[in-house]
Amino acid sequence: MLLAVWLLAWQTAFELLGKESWQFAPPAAVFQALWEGVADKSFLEALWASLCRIACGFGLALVLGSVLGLLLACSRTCNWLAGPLVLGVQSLPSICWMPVAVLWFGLNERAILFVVLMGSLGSISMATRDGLRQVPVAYQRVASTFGASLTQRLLWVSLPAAFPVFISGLKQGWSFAWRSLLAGELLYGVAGMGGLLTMARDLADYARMFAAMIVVVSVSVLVDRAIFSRLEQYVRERWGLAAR
Amino acid sequence: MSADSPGTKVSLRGVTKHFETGVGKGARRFQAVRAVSLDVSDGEFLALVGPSGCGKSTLLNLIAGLEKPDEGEVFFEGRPVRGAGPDRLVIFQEPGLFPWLTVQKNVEFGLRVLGLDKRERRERAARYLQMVHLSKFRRSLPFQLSGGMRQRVALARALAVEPQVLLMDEPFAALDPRTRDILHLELQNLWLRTHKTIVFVTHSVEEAVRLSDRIVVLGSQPGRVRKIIPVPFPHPRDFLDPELVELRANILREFEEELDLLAKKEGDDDWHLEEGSIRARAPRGVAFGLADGI
Repeated sequence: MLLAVWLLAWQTAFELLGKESWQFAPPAAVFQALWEGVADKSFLEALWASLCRIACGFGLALVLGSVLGLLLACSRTCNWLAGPLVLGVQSLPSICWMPVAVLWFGLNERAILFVVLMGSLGSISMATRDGLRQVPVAYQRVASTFGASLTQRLLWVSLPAAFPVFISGLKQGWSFAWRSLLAGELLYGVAGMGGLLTMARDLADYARMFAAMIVVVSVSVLVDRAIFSRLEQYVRERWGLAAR
Repeated sequence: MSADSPGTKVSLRGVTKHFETGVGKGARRFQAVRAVSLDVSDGEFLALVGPSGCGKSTLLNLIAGLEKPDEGEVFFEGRPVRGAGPDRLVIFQEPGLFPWLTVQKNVEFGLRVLGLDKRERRERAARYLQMVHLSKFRRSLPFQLSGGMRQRVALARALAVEPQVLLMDEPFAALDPRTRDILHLELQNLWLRTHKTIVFVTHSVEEAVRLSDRIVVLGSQPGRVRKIIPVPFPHPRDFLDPELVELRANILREFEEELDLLAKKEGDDDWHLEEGSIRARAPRGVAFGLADGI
Protein backbone atom coordinates (compact mmCIF):
# COMPACT_ATOMS: atom_id res chain seq x y z
CA MET A 1 0.00 0.00 0.00
CA LEU A 2 2.68 2.40 1.11
CA LEU A 3 4.76 1.21 -1.79
CA ALA A 4 1.90 1.91 -4.21
CA VAL A 5 1.52 5.48 -2.93
CA TRP A 6 5.21 6.19 -3.40
CA LEU A 7 5.27 4.59 -6.82
CA LEU A 8 2.35 6.74 -7.86
CA ALA A 9 4.10 9.85 -6.56
CA TRP A 10 7.22 8.87 -8.43
CA GLN A 11 5.34 8.30 -11.68
CA THR A 12 3.52 11.62 -11.30
CA ALA A 13 6.74 13.46 -10.61
CA PHE A 14 8.23 11.90 -13.68
CA GLU A 15 5.24 12.94 -15.81
CA LEU A 16 5.31 16.50 -14.53
CA LEU A 17 9.00 17.23 -14.32
CA GLY A 18 11.22 14.72 -15.91
CA LYS A 19 9.54 13.47 -19.04
CA GLU A 20 11.84 15.32 -21.39
CA SER A 21 14.82 14.87 -19.20
CA TRP A 22 17.33 12.06 -19.52
CA GLN A 23 18.35 12.59 -15.89
CA PHE A 24 15.25 11.05 -14.48
CA ALA A 25 13.95 7.52 -14.88
CA PRO A 26 10.34 6.36 -14.60
CA PRO A 27 9.50 3.50 -12.22
CA ALA A 28 8.84 1.08 -15.05
CA ALA A 29 12.30 1.59 -16.54
CA VAL A 30 13.93 1.25 -13.13
CA PHE A 31 12.14 -2.00 -12.38
CA GLN A 32 12.97 -3.21 -15.84
CA ALA A 33 16.64 -2.50 -15.08
CA LEU A 34 16.29 -4.16 -11.70
CA TRP A 35 14.84 -7.26 -13.30
CA GLU A 36 17.55 -7.35 -15.95
CA GLY A 37 20.21 -6.91 -13.31
CA VAL A 38 18.85 -9.83 -11.36
CA ALA A 39 18.31 -11.94 -14.46
CA ASP A 40 21.85 -11.55 -15.82
CA LYS A 41 23.15 -12.05 -12.26
CA SER A 42 25.21 -8.85 -12.37
CA PHE A 43 23.27 -7.42 -9.40
CA LEU A 44 23.52 -10.65 -7.46
CA GLU A 45 27.26 -10.93 -8.03
CA ALA A 46 27.81 -7.31 -6.99
CA LEU A 47 25.60 -7.74 -3.96
CA TRP A 48 27.42 -10.90 -2.95
CA ALA A 49 30.79 -9.15 -3.24
CA SER A 50 29.52 -6.28 -1.08
CA LEU A 51 28.01 -8.59 1.49
CA CYS A 52 31.23 -10.59 1.80
CA ARG A 53 33.15 -7.41 2.27
CA ILE A 54 30.84 -6.05 4.93
CA ALA A 55 30.76 -9.37 6.74
CA CYS A 56 34.54 -9.16 7.04
CA GLY A 57 34.66 -5.47 7.89
CA PHE A 58 31.76 -5.49 10.31
CA GLY A 59 32.92 -8.74 11.89
CA LEU A 60 36.31 -7.20 12.49
CA ALA A 61 34.68 -4.06 13.93
CA LEU A 62 32.52 -6.23 16.16
CA VAL A 63 35.51 -7.99 17.68
CA LEU A 64 37.84 -5.00 17.91
CA GLY A 65 35.07 -2.62 19.00
CA SER A 66 33.96 -4.92 21.81
CA VAL A 67 37.50 -5.38 23.04
CA LEU A 68 38.24 -1.67 22.82
CA GLY A 69 34.99 -0.83 24.61
CA LEU A 70 35.79 -3.35 27.32
CA LEU A 71 39.22 -1.80 27.83
CA LEU A 72 37.75 1.70 27.95
CA ALA A 73 35.15 0.60 30.49
CA CYS A 74 37.54 -1.33 32.71
CA SER A 75 40.57 0.91 32.78
CA ARG A 76 40.33 4.53 33.73
CA THR A 77 43.73 5.20 32.18
CA CYS A 78 42.65 3.67 28.86
CA ASN A 79 39.51 5.72 28.88
CA TRP A 80 41.39 8.90 29.71
CA LEU A 81 43.85 8.24 26.93
CA ALA A 82 41.63 6.91 24.18
CA GLY A 83 38.02 7.79 25.09
CA PRO A 84 37.96 11.33 23.66
CA LEU A 85 39.98 10.16 20.66
CA VAL A 86 37.47 7.45 19.76
CA LEU A 87 34.62 9.88 20.23
CA GLY A 88 36.37 12.51 18.09
CA VAL A 89 37.25 10.08 15.32
CA GLN A 90 33.63 8.95 15.29
CA SER A 91 32.59 12.39 14.08
CA LEU A 92 34.86 12.01 11.05
CA PRO A 93 33.04 10.53 8.03
CA SER A 94 34.82 7.24 7.63
CA ILE A 95 35.48 7.78 3.92
CA CYS A 96 38.03 10.38 5.03
CA TRP A 97 40.13 7.39 6.01
CA MET A 98 40.30 6.29 2.40
CA PRO A 99 43.44 8.26 1.44
CA VAL A 100 45.20 6.99 4.55
CA ALA A 101 44.00 3.46 3.87
CA VAL A 102 45.32 3.58 0.33
CA LEU A 103 48.61 4.91 1.63
CA TRP A 104 48.88 2.06 4.13
CA PHE A 105 47.38 -0.88 2.29
CA GLY A 106 47.41 0.16 -1.35
CA LEU A 107 44.33 0.39 -3.53
CA ASN A 108 42.83 -2.97 -2.72
CA GLU A 109 40.30 -4.93 -0.75
CA ARG A 110 42.04 -4.23 2.55
CA ALA A 111 41.78 -0.47 2.12
CA ILE A 112 38.00 -0.73 1.81
CA LEU A 113 37.82 -3.09 4.78
CA PHE A 114 39.74 -0.55 6.78
CA VAL A 115 37.25 2.16 5.88
CA VAL A 116 34.36 -0.09 6.88
CA LEU A 117 36.10 -0.90 10.15
CA MET A 118 36.69 2.75 10.96
CA GLY A 119 33.08 3.51 10.11
CA SER A 120 31.59 1.19 12.69
CA LEU A 121 34.34 0.78 15.27
CA GLY A 122 33.39 3.99 17.07
CA SER A 123 29.72 3.19 17.61
CA ILE A 124 30.43 -0.35 18.74
CA SER A 125 33.19 0.50 21.18
CA MET A 126 31.32 3.49 22.62
CA ALA A 127 28.19 1.38 23.09
CA THR A 128 30.17 -1.39 24.77
CA ARG A 129 31.82 1.10 27.10
CA ASP A 130 28.63 2.96 27.97
CA GLY A 131 26.66 -0.24 28.41
CA LEU A 132 29.23 -1.57 30.85
CA ARG A 133 29.40 1.71 32.69
CA GLN A 134 25.65 1.88 33.12
CA VAL A 135 25.27 -1.50 34.79
CA PRO A 136 22.79 -0.74 37.60
CA VAL A 137 24.33 -0.50 41.07
CA ALA A 138 21.74 -2.98 42.36
CA TYR A 139 23.20 -5.76 40.16
CA GLN A 140 26.75 -4.92 41.15
CA ARG A 141 25.88 -5.06 44.83
CA VAL A 142 24.25 -8.44 44.38
CA ALA A 143 27.39 -9.69 42.63
CA SER A 144 29.50 -8.32 45.49
CA THR A 145 27.52 -9.85 48.30
CA PHE A 146 27.64 -13.28 46.67
CA GLY A 147 31.40 -12.88 46.49
CA ALA A 148 31.58 -13.15 42.70
CA SER A 149 35.08 -13.02 41.25
CA LEU A 150 36.01 -10.44 38.64
CA THR A 151 35.54 -12.85 35.76
CA GLN A 152 32.23 -14.12 37.10
CA ARG A 153 31.04 -10.57 37.58
CA LEU A 154 32.00 -9.62 34.05
CA LEU A 155 30.57 -12.70 32.35
CA TRP A 156 27.42 -13.20 34.37
CA VAL A 157 26.46 -9.69 35.41
CA SER A 158 28.15 -6.83 33.56
CA LEU A 159 28.10 -8.19 30.01
CA PRO A 160 24.46 -9.35 30.04
CA ALA A 161 23.43 -6.13 31.75
CA ALA A 162 25.23 -4.12 29.07
CA PHE A 163 23.60 -6.08 26.26
CA PRO A 164 20.69 -3.71 25.44
CA VAL A 165 23.02 -0.73 24.99
CA PHE A 166 25.46 -2.91 23.06
CA ILE A 167 22.71 -3.95 20.62
CA SER A 168 21.77 -0.37 19.84
CA GLY A 169 25.46 0.31 19.20
CA LEU A 170 25.58 -2.65 16.81
CA LYS A 171 22.55 -1.37 14.99
CA GLN A 172 24.13 2.02 14.53
CA GLY A 173 27.47 0.46 13.67
CA TRP A 174 25.84 -1.65 10.99
CA SER A 175 24.32 1.32 9.20
CA PHE A 176 27.62 3.21 9.42
CA ALA A 177 29.49 0.20 8.09
CA TRP A 178 27.14 -0.19 5.13
CA ARG A 179 27.47 3.50 4.29
CA SER A 180 31.24 3.38 4.55
CA LEU A 181 31.39 0.31 2.37
CA LEU A 182 29.37 1.94 -0.38
CA ALA A 183 31.36 5.11 -0.20
CA GLY A 184 34.57 3.13 -0.47
CA GLU A 185 33.34 1.01 -3.37
CA LEU A 186 31.90 4.02 -5.12
CA LEU A 187 35.10 5.98 -4.89
CA TYR A 188 37.29 3.20 -6.21
CA GLY A 189 34.83 1.38 -8.43
CA VAL A 190 35.66 -2.15 -7.38
CA ALA A 191 33.20 -5.00 -7.86
CA GLY A 192 30.25 -4.56 -5.56
CA MET A 193 27.16 -2.43 -5.27
CA GLY A 194 29.21 0.78 -5.12
CA GLY A 195 31.13 -0.27 -8.21
CA LEU A 196 27.89 -1.08 -9.96
CA LEU A 197 26.62 2.42 -9.26
CA THR A 198 29.76 4.04 -10.64
CA MET A 199 29.65 1.88 -13.71
CA ALA A 200 25.99 2.71 -14.37
CA ARG A 201 26.77 6.39 -14.04
CA ASP A 202 29.70 6.14 -16.42
CA LEU A 203 27.50 4.39 -18.97
CA ALA A 204 24.72 6.95 -18.40
CA ASP A 205 22.38 4.07 -17.55
CA TYR A 206 20.26 5.97 -15.08
CA ALA A 207 17.55 3.38 -14.69
CA ARG A 208 20.20 0.88 -13.63
CA MET A 209 21.67 3.43 -11.25
CA PHE A 210 18.35 3.94 -9.49
CA ALA A 211 17.76 0.21 -9.45
CA ALA A 212 21.10 -0.31 -7.72
CA MET A 213 20.17 2.35 -5.15
CA ILE A 214 16.93 0.52 -4.44
CA VAL A 215 18.89 -2.67 -3.82
CA VAL A 216 21.29 -0.90 -1.47
CA VAL A 217 18.50 0.57 0.62
CA SER A 218 16.53 -2.68 0.67
CA VAL A 219 19.49 -4.72 1.85
CA SER A 220 20.23 -2.25 4.63
CA VAL A 221 16.63 -2.36 5.83
CA LEU A 222 16.38 -6.13 5.48
CA VAL A 223 19.52 -6.83 7.49
CA ASP A 224 18.39 -4.42 10.17
CA ARG A 225 14.97 -6.08 10.34
CA ALA A 226 16.30 -9.61 10.24
CA ILE A 227 19.08 -9.20 12.80
CA PHE A 228 19.35 -6.01 14.78
CA SER A 229 15.74 -4.99 15.23
CA ARG A 230 14.89 -8.58 16.07
CA LEU A 231 17.60 -8.70 18.73
CA GLU A 232 16.39 -5.40 20.11
CA GLN A 233 12.85 -6.69 20.25
CA TYR A 234 14.00 -9.85 22.01
CA VAL A 235 15.83 -7.85 24.64
CA ARG A 236 12.87 -5.55 25.15
CA GLU A 237 10.53 -8.47 25.71
CA ARG A 238 12.93 -10.35 27.95
CA TRP A 239 13.68 -7.31 30.08
CA GLY A 240 9.98 -6.52 30.28
CA LEU A 241 10.38 -3.14 28.62
CA ALA A 242 7.83 -3.89 25.90
CA ALA A 243 5.13 -4.85 28.37
CA ARG A 244 4.57 -1.27 29.42
CA MET B 1 40.85 -7.65 70.93
CA SER B 2 38.94 -10.54 69.50
CA ALA B 3 35.54 -11.37 70.80
CA ASP B 4 34.51 -14.93 70.83
CA SER B 5 32.30 -15.86 73.64
CA PRO B 6 30.68 -19.06 72.44
CA GLY B 7 27.52 -18.56 70.47
CA THR B 8 28.53 -15.15 69.18
CA LYS B 9 28.17 -15.01 65.42
CA VAL B 10 29.06 -11.44 64.62
CA SER B 11 30.71 -8.85 66.77
CA LEU B 12 31.66 -5.27 66.16
CA ARG B 13 34.37 -3.73 68.31
CA GLY B 14 34.72 0.04 68.39
CA VAL B 15 33.81 0.38 64.75
CA THR B 16 34.06 3.85 63.21
CA LYS B 17 33.40 4.72 59.60
CA HIS B 18 33.74 8.01 57.71
CA PHE B 19 32.33 8.97 54.36
CA GLU B 20 33.01 11.77 51.93
CA THR B 21 30.08 13.68 50.57
CA GLY B 22 30.09 15.92 47.55
CA VAL B 23 32.91 16.36 45.10
CA GLY B 24 35.81 18.76 44.66
CA LYS B 25 36.04 21.68 47.04
CA GLY B 26 32.60 21.13 48.50
CA ALA B 27 33.55 17.64 49.66
CA ARG B 28 32.98 17.06 53.33
CA ARG B 29 33.94 14.20 55.54
CA PHE B 30 31.36 13.00 57.98
CA GLN B 31 31.20 10.25 60.49
CA ALA B 32 28.60 7.65 59.57
CA VAL B 33 29.13 5.52 62.67
CA ARG B 34 31.28 6.16 65.69
CA ALA B 35 32.70 3.58 68.07
CA VAL B 36 29.95 1.02 67.73
CA SER B 37 30.34 -2.22 69.65
CA LEU B 38 27.73 -4.90 69.24
CA ASP B 39 27.37 -8.67 69.47
CA VAL B 40 24.95 -10.79 67.48
CA SER B 41 24.39 -14.30 68.81
CA ASP B 42 24.01 -17.42 66.73
CA GLY B 43 20.44 -17.83 65.52
CA GLU B 44 19.40 -14.42 66.79
CA PHE B 45 17.04 -12.11 64.95
CA LEU B 46 18.45 -8.65 65.58
CA ALA B 47 16.88 -5.44 64.34
CA LEU B 48 18.79 -2.21 63.81
CA VAL B 49 16.38 0.70 64.03
CA GLY B 50 16.98 4.39 63.75
CA PRO B 51 16.22 7.60 61.88
CA SER B 52 17.75 8.21 58.47
CA GLY B 53 21.42 9.04 58.68
CA CYS B 54 22.05 6.88 61.74
CA GLY B 55 24.38 4.63 59.77
CA LYS B 56 22.30 1.48 60.02
CA SER B 57 22.97 0.47 56.42
CA THR B 58 26.63 1.27 56.94
CA LEU B 59 26.76 -1.15 59.88
CA LEU B 60 25.20 -3.83 57.71
CA ASN B 61 27.68 -3.24 54.88
CA LEU B 62 30.52 -3.42 57.40
CA ILE B 63 29.32 -6.81 58.63
CA ALA B 64 28.88 -7.94 55.02
CA GLY B 65 32.41 -6.86 54.23
CA LEU B 66 31.22 -4.53 51.49
CA GLU B 67 32.80 -1.64 53.44
CA LYS B 68 35.90 -1.53 55.59
CA PRO B 69 35.88 0.16 58.99
CA ASP B 70 38.23 3.13 59.49
CA GLU B 71 38.76 2.12 63.10
CA GLY B 72 37.85 -0.94 65.09
CA GLU B 73 37.19 -4.39 63.76
CA VAL B 74 34.28 -6.56 62.65
CA PHE B 75 34.43 -10.24 63.59
CA PHE B 76 32.53 -13.10 62.06
CA GLU B 77 32.71 -16.35 64.01
CA GLY B 78 35.71 -14.93 65.86
CA ARG B 79 37.69 -14.08 62.73
CA PRO B 80 38.09 -10.55 61.42
CA VAL B 81 36.02 -9.80 58.33
CA ARG B 82 38.20 -9.24 55.25
CA GLY B 83 35.69 -8.83 52.44
CA ALA B 84 32.32 -10.00 51.21
CA GLY B 85 31.40 -13.65 51.02
CA PRO B 86 28.43 -15.97 50.66
CA ASP B 87 28.45 -16.76 54.38
CA ARG B 88 27.12 -13.26 55.09
CA LEU B 89 24.57 -12.37 52.46
CA VAL B 90 22.88 -9.02 52.06
CA ILE B 91 19.32 -8.60 50.87
CA PHE B 92 18.79 -5.08 49.63
CA GLN B 93 15.70 -2.93 49.43
CA GLU B 94 15.85 -3.34 45.67
CA PRO B 95 15.63 -7.08 44.95
CA GLY B 96 18.21 -6.69 42.16
CA LEU B 97 17.01 -9.70 40.19
CA PHE B 98 18.72 -10.04 36.83
CA PRO B 99 16.11 -9.32 34.15
CA TRP B 100 17.75 -11.59 31.59
CA LEU B 101 17.42 -14.69 33.79
CA THR B 102 14.34 -16.68 34.72
CA VAL B 103 13.34 -16.92 38.37
CA GLN B 104 15.00 -20.32 38.61
CA LYS B 105 18.26 -19.07 37.07
CA ASN B 106 18.24 -16.06 39.34
CA VAL B 107 18.06 -18.32 42.37
CA GLU B 108 20.89 -20.39 40.90
CA PHE B 109 23.14 -17.32 40.58
CA GLY B 110 24.87 -17.67 43.94
CA LEU B 111 25.25 -21.41 43.40
CA ARG B 112 26.99 -20.78 40.09
CA VAL B 113 29.36 -18.41 41.86
CA LEU B 114 30.07 -21.22 44.33
CA GLY B 115 30.76 -23.54 41.40
CA LEU B 116 28.09 -26.17 42.08
CA ASP B 117 27.23 -28.47 39.20
CA LYS B 118 24.02 -28.15 37.24
CA ARG B 119 22.08 -30.88 38.98
CA GLU B 120 22.77 -29.66 42.46
CA ARG B 121 22.03 -26.09 41.43
CA ARG B 122 18.65 -27.10 40.09
CA GLU B 123 17.83 -29.17 43.10
CA ARG B 124 18.71 -26.48 45.60
CA ALA B 125 17.00 -23.72 43.63
CA ALA B 126 13.85 -25.83 43.50
CA ARG B 127 14.03 -26.44 47.25
CA TYR B 128 14.36 -22.79 48.16
CA LEU B 129 11.82 -21.62 45.62
CA GLN B 130 9.41 -23.99 47.28
CA MET B 131 10.33 -22.50 50.65
CA VAL B 132 9.20 -19.06 49.48
CA HIS B 133 6.19 -20.63 47.73
CA LEU B 134 7.16 -19.63 44.20
CA SER B 135 7.72 -23.01 42.55
CA LYS B 136 4.98 -22.24 40.09
CA PHE B 137 6.86 -19.22 38.82
CA ARG B 138 10.27 -20.77 38.30
CA ARG B 139 10.12 -20.22 34.54
CA SER B 140 8.82 -16.65 34.80
CA LEU B 141 10.93 -13.60 34.15
CA PRO B 142 11.40 -11.01 36.91
CA PHE B 143 9.30 -8.34 35.21
CA GLN B 144 6.31 -10.67 35.29
CA LEU B 145 6.33 -10.77 39.10
CA SER B 146 4.95 -8.31 41.65
CA GLY B 147 7.27 -6.41 43.98
CA GLY B 148 6.64 -8.78 46.86
CA MET B 149 7.27 -11.84 44.73
CA ARG B 150 10.52 -10.36 43.47
CA GLN B 151 11.71 -9.83 47.01
CA ARG B 152 10.81 -13.44 47.82
CA VAL B 153 12.89 -14.60 44.85
CA ALA B 154 15.75 -12.48 46.19
CA LEU B 155 15.25 -14.17 49.55
CA ALA B 156 15.35 -17.63 47.94
CA ARG B 157 18.45 -16.64 46.00
CA ALA B 158 20.15 -15.63 49.25
CA LEU B 159 19.01 -18.68 51.23
CA ALA B 160 20.06 -21.05 48.45
CA VAL B 161 23.75 -20.52 49.17
CA GLU B 162 22.97 -21.39 52.80
CA PRO B 163 24.62 -18.40 54.43
CA GLN B 164 25.47 -18.27 58.12
CA VAL B 165 24.09 -14.77 58.49
CA LEU B 166 21.37 -13.01 56.57
CA LEU B 167 21.77 -9.23 56.44
CA MET B 168 18.58 -7.51 55.42
CA ASP B 169 18.73 -3.84 54.46
CA GLU B 170 15.18 -2.47 54.65
CA PRO B 171 14.04 -5.31 52.41
CA PHE B 172 10.34 -4.57 52.63
CA ALA B 173 10.44 -0.78 52.69
CA ALA B 174 9.37 -0.37 49.09
CA LEU B 175 6.35 -2.68 49.38
CA ASP B 176 2.75 -1.87 50.17
CA PRO B 177 1.60 -2.59 53.76
CA ARG B 178 -0.43 -5.68 52.89
CA THR B 179 2.40 -7.33 51.00
CA ARG B 180 4.72 -6.38 53.83
CA ASP B 181 2.45 -8.13 56.35
CA ILE B 182 2.55 -11.31 54.29
CA LEU B 183 6.31 -11.15 53.98
CA HIS B 184 6.65 -10.57 57.73
CA LEU B 185 4.79 -13.81 58.34
CA GLU B 186 6.80 -15.60 55.71
CA LEU B 187 10.12 -14.35 57.04
CA GLN B 188 9.12 -15.32 60.56
CA ASN B 189 8.31 -18.85 59.37
CA LEU B 190 11.54 -19.07 57.41
CA TRP B 191 13.51 -17.99 60.40
CA LEU B 192 11.76 -20.48 62.67
CA ARG B 193 12.52 -23.24 60.18
CA THR B 194 16.14 -22.40 59.38
CA HIS B 195 17.21 -20.50 62.50
CA LYS B 196 19.59 -18.37 60.57
CA THR B 197 21.20 -15.42 62.26
CA ILE B 198 19.45 -12.37 60.87
CA VAL B 199 20.43 -8.73 61.16
CA PHE B 200 17.52 -6.68 59.94
CA VAL B 201 17.82 -2.96 59.22
CA THR B 202 14.62 -0.97 59.22
CA HIS B 203 13.23 2.45 59.97
CA SER B 204 9.95 0.87 61.02
CA VAL B 205 9.64 0.17 64.73
CA GLU B 206 6.60 -1.94 64.00
CA GLU B 207 8.60 -4.24 61.76
CA ALA B 208 11.35 -4.56 64.35
CA VAL B 209 8.94 -5.38 67.19
CA ARG B 210 7.13 -7.98 65.13
CA LEU B 211 10.17 -9.88 63.98
CA SER B 212 13.20 -9.46 66.17
CA ASP B 213 14.53 -10.80 69.47
CA ARG B 214 16.46 -7.63 70.19
CA ILE B 215 16.15 -4.11 68.88
CA VAL B 216 19.22 -1.95 68.68
CA VAL B 217 18.12 1.68 68.66
CA LEU B 218 20.67 3.83 66.90
CA GLY B 219 21.19 7.55 67.33
CA SER B 220 22.22 9.66 64.40
CA GLN B 221 25.08 11.86 63.33
CA PRO B 222 27.26 10.08 64.04
CA GLY B 223 25.54 6.72 64.23
CA ARG B 224 25.94 5.10 67.62
CA VAL B 225 24.10 2.62 69.78
CA ARG B 226 21.63 4.46 71.96
CA LYS B 227 19.76 1.61 73.51
CA ILE B 228 19.28 -2.12 73.19
CA ILE B 229 15.74 -3.30 73.81
CA PRO B 230 14.95 -7.00 74.17
CA VAL B 231 11.69 -8.23 72.65
CA PRO B 232 10.92 -11.11 75.00
CA PHE B 233 7.90 -12.56 73.23
CA PRO B 234 8.10 -16.09 71.84
CA HIS B 235 7.81 -16.89 68.14
CA PRO B 236 5.60 -17.32 66.18
CA ARG B 237 4.07 -14.06 67.21
CA ASP B 238 0.62 -12.66 66.90
CA PHE B 239 1.31 -9.26 65.40
CA LEU B 240 -1.77 -7.80 67.10
CA ASP B 241 -0.74 -8.92 70.58
CA PRO B 242 -1.40 -5.91 72.91
CA GLU B 243 1.97 -6.35 74.59
CA LEU B 244 3.68 -6.06 71.23
CA VAL B 245 1.69 -2.98 70.38
CA GLU B 246 2.55 -1.40 73.70
CA LEU B 247 6.24 -2.06 73.29
CA ARG B 248 6.07 -0.39 69.90
CA ALA B 249 4.38 2.67 71.39
CA ASN B 250 7.03 2.93 74.08
CA ILE B 251 9.87 2.78 71.62
CA LEU B 252 8.19 5.32 69.37
CA ARG B 253 7.89 7.72 72.29
CA GLU B 254 11.60 7.50 72.85
CA PHE B 255 12.24 8.01 69.20
CA GLU B 256 10.25 11.17 69.20
CA GLU B 257 12.72 12.74 71.59
CA GLU B 258 15.55 11.73 69.34
CA LEU B 259 13.72 13.23 66.41
CA ASP B 260 13.08 16.51 68.16
CA LEU B 261 16.74 16.65 69.00
CA LEU B 262 17.66 15.93 65.44
CA ALA B 263 15.35 18.61 64.10
CA LYS B 264 16.87 21.19 66.44
CA LYS B 265 20.37 20.15 65.62
CA GLU B 266 19.69 20.35 61.94
CA GLY B 267 17.99 23.72 62.21
CA ASP B 268 21.24 25.47 61.42
CA ASP B 269 21.93 23.39 58.41
CA ASP B 270 20.28 24.80 55.29
CA TRP B 271 19.96 21.52 53.52
CA HIS B 272 18.19 19.72 56.29
CA LEU B 273 16.06 22.64 57.44
CA GLU B 274 13.13 21.91 55.16
CA GLU B 275 12.96 18.23 55.90
CA GLY B 276 13.24 18.91 59.63
CA SER B 277 10.50 21.49 59.70
CA ILE B 278 8.11 19.30 57.75
CA ARG B 279 8.57 16.51 60.23
CA ALA B 280 8.39 18.87 63.19
CA ARG B 281 5.04 20.17 61.97
CA ALA B 282 3.57 16.70 61.69
CA PRO B 283 1.27 15.81 64.60
CA ARG B 284 2.83 13.92 67.47
CA GLY B 285 2.71 10.21 67.04
CA VAL B 286 2.89 10.19 63.28
CA ALA B 287 6.15 12.06 63.31
CA PHE B 288 8.17 8.93 63.02
CA GLY B 289 5.68 6.87 61.15
CA LEU B 290 5.72 8.88 57.97
CA ALA B 291 6.96 6.02 55.93
CA ASP B 292 5.76 3.01 57.86
CA GLY B 293 2.07 3.59 58.03
CA ILE B 294 1.91 3.40 61.82
